[in-house]
Amino acid sequence: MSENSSHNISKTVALVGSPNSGKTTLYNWLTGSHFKTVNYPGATVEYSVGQLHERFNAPIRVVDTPGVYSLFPKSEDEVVTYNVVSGQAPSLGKMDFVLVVIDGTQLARHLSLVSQVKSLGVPFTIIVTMEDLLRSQNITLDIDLLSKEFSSKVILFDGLLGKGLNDIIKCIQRPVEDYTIKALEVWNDVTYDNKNKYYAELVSKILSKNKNVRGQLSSLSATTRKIDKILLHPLWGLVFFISVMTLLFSSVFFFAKPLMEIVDWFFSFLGDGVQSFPVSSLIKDFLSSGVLSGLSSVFVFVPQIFVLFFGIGLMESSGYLARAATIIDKPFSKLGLSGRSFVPMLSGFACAVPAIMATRNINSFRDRLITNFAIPLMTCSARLPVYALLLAILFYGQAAWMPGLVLAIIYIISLILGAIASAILNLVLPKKEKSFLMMELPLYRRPLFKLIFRQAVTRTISYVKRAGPIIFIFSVSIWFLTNFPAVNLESKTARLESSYASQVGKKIEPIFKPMGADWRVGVGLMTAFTAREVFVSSLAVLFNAEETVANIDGAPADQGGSDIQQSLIQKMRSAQFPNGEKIFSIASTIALIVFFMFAMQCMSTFAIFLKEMNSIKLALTQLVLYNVVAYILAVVTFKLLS
Amino acid sequence: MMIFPLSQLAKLDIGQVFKVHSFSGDELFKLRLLEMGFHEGDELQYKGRAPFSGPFIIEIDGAYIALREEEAECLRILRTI
Repeated sequence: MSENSSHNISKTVALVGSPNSGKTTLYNWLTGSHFKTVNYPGATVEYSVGQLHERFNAPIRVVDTPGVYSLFPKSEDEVVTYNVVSGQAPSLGKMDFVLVVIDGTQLARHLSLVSQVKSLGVPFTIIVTMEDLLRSQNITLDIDLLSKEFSSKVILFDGLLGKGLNDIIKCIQRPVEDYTIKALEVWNDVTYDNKNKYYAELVSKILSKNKNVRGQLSSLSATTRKIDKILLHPLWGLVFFISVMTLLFSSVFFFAKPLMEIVDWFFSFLGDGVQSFPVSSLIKDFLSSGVLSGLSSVFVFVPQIFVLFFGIGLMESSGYLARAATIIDKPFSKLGLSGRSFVPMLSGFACAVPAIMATRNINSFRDRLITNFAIPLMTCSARLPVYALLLAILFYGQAAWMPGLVLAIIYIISLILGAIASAILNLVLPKKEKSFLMMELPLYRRPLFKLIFRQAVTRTISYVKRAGPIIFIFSVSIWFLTNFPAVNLESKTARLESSYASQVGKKIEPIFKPMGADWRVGVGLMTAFTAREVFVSSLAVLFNAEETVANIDGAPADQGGSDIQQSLIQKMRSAQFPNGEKIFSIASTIALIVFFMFAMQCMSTFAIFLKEMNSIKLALTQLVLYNVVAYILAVVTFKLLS
Repeated sequence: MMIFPLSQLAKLDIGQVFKVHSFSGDELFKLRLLEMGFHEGDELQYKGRAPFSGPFIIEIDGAYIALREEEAECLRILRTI
């Protein structure tokens, strides 16, 4: 925010309106791509602060607030809106001007908000959106009447073509007036009922120039009505919902994969380039395995995040997201959540990082927290190489369907675990605010691709900026711990064996022993904190002979080639404790799988959780809790099976 | 004239038009309904329920609104015919 407030800002304007009022579309017209999302201090709610687009040539700051139906907050995000409008938001200060954005097709239901803004005493202008829709049905509004009612200017705005934008710009460029915020008198049910009736009458006057208002208004929603006959149908609606979700999920999973491979390839290409530098091998290794692989761990998530947010944007902009949340609301309400948690949870099966970012669409803090705790339990794609290796050992020489079946069971169990975790948290967490669904399902609209694209890019950049540095630092630290102090040794295996990580691993072997693991597995688990799949490549280094090491360096295990995989499986199968017992027995291998199902073993998840929830306490709680639970259950599994 | 909470609507009522009569029950839900612009005399059409016996979906002045069962309980309606 400091960047925005630093120079030449002459005034600050806030946008206020109900959800789906077209507020965010207007905001995008006003700011172009010159905005950033910020977390409200001490809260997880975020709002956008931007600067008026250069072409308007006015140094004005624009704030987009979370959608509200009133200025009497009932949830955390509504508190933020109230604070911004009433000038209580730290670092934003008093608003010079408020634009109250109301949906022109739903005037009657949005006028009480205008009235409340007016009572607050803040200078405002009414922006009536959806002008394109009104025009399409030849609906005319008596703007003067509306203007007179609130003694305020009223501007019609078409979000599709941007018509009306110049008037809005002119309006916010007018000189700042001084005012004092007045205390809002509380509206009770009687106030509302009277006001709502009054505004309904007013709106019928505003619409009185139209010959057949009812028919015209009803034909506005004719298409939506037709589509919803199918999309909200108890059976076909569900079929469509499952299809859309499958498409979204597989996009994140599969469409992003080639892009991720390109990112991977790009960084290993750079890594190869580093090898030809005329510097010592230590610096080369630091650059390729420390710095570059650190950067690669940051950027490898970019395709998934972009694809997921593009998909969500498409659903939101077309009007389907609210319906999807409605469709799945019932089962989720049993877990104390709302249907809004579904998309993030599903995305967790691809990767927890974009999934946790997707929880921004959940407006209740409590729901968001519960969802964010459940997400890391989903079987993310980074767990696949680990499970593949462990199942290959477990079912060595047996029919291929057996590990396949067990893998499917692991997926289902993770879903059940997520549900159990949510249910437990729902019981444990105090219910500060009552959760409600009660929402408007917007009309179906043609998605604004440019806007969706821009939002997806913004989200992706915000991920790189927020979580990137933490992931990078973790990654470099782990390189240091796995290579020092014996950095001069040529063999990677030897270096790792005498590294700080191994020293620690050997010291704390007694901790890993109860789950049937030796120090090498322990070190593997520690290095897996960079990313779960690193477990496989670490084991390859720790267990393998020298000749294959060169191939494994830096490359993810699943691309390391089947020879290495086979040789690793052989090595692991024959690995023994000093007393001759097998290290990877049935009991210990299953214990490891159990460990991976629970363990919060991913620095990127930790980093993004920390940034999104804005709380080191919560992030550490999650980290410690899941790892302790994972450990205890792994030990129990091992003891029971052996 | 029968007045009853919206949550009592059944499959047979799909497509029928009702009038908002009053608001009762949970204070928060009540206020929320009022904030969303519901008022006495409003006409609404019942559209059905979401899958899994989920939220009630109604159309009011061309707007679709989804209400959970406990939210729908607070909205008392009456049959117009």
